[in-house]
Amino acid sequence: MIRYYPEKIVILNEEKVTNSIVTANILKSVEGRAVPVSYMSEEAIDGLIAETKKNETAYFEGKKTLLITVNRGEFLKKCPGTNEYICCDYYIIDFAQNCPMECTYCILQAYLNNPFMVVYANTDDLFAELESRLSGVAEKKYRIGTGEFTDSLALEHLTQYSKILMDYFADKPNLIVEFKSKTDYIDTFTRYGAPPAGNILISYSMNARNVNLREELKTATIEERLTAAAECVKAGYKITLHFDPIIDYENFDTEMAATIELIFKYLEPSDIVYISLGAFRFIPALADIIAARFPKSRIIYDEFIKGYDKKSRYFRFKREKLFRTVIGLIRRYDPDKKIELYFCMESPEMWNALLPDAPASDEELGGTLYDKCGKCIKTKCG
Amino acid sequence: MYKNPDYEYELIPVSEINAGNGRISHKCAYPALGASIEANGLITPLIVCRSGGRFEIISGFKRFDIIAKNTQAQTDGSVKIKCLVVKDLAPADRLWLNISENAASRGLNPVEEGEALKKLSAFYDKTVVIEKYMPAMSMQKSEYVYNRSASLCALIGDAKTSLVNGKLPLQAAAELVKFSSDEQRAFMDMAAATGMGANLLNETARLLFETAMQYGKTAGEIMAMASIASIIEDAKMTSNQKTETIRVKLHALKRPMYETAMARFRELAGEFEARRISVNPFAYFEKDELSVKFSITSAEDLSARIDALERLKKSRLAEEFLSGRQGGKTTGRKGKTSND
Repeated sequence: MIRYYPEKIVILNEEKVTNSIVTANILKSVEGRAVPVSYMSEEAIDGLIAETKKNETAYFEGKKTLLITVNRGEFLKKCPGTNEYICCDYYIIDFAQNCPMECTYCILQAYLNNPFMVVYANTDDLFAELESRLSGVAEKKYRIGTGEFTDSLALEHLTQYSKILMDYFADKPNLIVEFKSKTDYIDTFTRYGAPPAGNILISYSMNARNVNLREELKTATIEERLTAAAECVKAGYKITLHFDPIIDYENFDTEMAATIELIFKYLEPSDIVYISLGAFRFIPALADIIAARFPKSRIIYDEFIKGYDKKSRYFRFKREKLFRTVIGLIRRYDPDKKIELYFCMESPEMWNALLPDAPASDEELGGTLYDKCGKCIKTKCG
Repeated sequence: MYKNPDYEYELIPVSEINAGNGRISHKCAYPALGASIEANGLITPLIVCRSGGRFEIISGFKRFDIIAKNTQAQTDGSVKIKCLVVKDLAPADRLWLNISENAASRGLNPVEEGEALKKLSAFYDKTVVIEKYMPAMSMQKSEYVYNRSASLCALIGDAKTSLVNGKLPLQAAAELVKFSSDEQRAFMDMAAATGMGANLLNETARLLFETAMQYGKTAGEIMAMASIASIIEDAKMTSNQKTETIRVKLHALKRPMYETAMARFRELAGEFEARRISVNPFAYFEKDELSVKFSITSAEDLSARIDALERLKKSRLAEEFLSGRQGGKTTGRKGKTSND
């Protein structure tokens, strides 16, 4: 896949940013590319954002600018859930926002209020917050990811942020960290190898082959991601996979089978800690954005109900059918059930219908997944 | 610094005037303008330029349409009208003169805005049109608005006329441009036969488009699936009945699972609605539960509702909706029925 390079870099003119290792990494990575760099005050940046947002092409044009700034809020956030659905008790490090890839279904299109690619460079604040919130919580089973408001690795060739985070978590084996991506970037992982604590998971988003080709634009293909995953396994990492969103698409069974066949061509069941399954869901504002930005995409034209989280989602019967197909295909290659499967934001009814031992709470599911990571890390999976 | 344009007034025979390519207005009847010209003559001169020994209209296409309807005016040169003849204007400037004149004097309707953008885009880059000309036409400087306005050029004549006359709302028109000419014609026939109002036209156009996308079919095929042609030809139905029948049919196509589930539910729940307890199935679409509501105003009411609840407990409705429907699974988070 083609790596992202900004056409313009805007840097907040504050010491926390200008002296940051992240800023230094980015500037070094664009050396020789003649990328204009501007140092601006917060007010000037706000003005620039407001001006860019006026234009309807802001979604696309905005991404050409990389904004290096500070996160003045919390870095560590709880992944939001809804009481009626079971959540996996996940935490997020908000280190960057927006994504250079163009998945038609991406929620960030409706969620973010800043069109630029944003990287938070105040790593001292990040680590101070992590120290204060995570120290002395050995009993708490934290699984932490960085791929919620951006792709974990889409900017890694510029920022080396994952490397910085890996170094920080290297001596904190009770904290599991997951880098989730649709890229095939592996340098950070293959160059340095898996840290001895073994608490780093490399995670890839999976989808049916035709969904990947038609709805996940500018991303690595499924095969490229799996080639990268296999390289990470060689370097000593464990892999997690996420089928989310599962979309009711043309030739669903055969296209999904093609992807799952590829997974097990490149990976052994013992390489994979867990796989999550989530069906396509969206807020109303996103439907309008998808219709305007991707007029050829048909994913929003289906029969949906309004879920308890106010998002449109497929009827329960249809979701069950889709999940049953994916689970059946996975278990064909993993008959011994070494891989933990779980649902993202599904009801107890769905769990009861398709997966054993429906968790009684978000914490129970989070604990199960954490324990599974622990087992894989200390010994070998299976 | 202000500069007077280089022009002169001339009386020019109508037969020597060509319409040219700069027209942005939609050709249709203009009764008010026609009546004014008939009563008062042409008060405001046309703006024209010389072109190959004849004259070409820059601004005043509608006025010309009305005057040129007179066959004598078109042929023998006896009818002359006063024109303002401008000199040395490049084609792009002539076009902009027409657009800006009309935008400033009376404002442009959506069809004219679309035509203006399309014609300007033949001379200028799209970005220039958005950045420079859209604000000058009092339009929002936006690619989305540009695309939506320019797309209206793809409307058929009847639809453009309805849009200009305010009978077809802009939202419905923006959906219609995605249809073929024949499909647009069928839609306009349906609109005429049913007398649908603005909200219903918007809803129907959107439903047709979304259902077509959902099925991977054309809007025409969806209209055929919903038997719209036979509905509008049905002499026994009133306009309102036709409208409602079309709505129901399109919704059924758009939400087949919902319609099936609701039909089954209504069949089973009818008894309880008659007993004034309301059983709502919506939760069931996500969870194994029914929402039951009732109100009481007396002890007798309470007894009647308790009786109804007892019947509900033993009913096929409860049996079907609360147990076994998914193949014997249990309710609650610790259920164990599993395929995994």
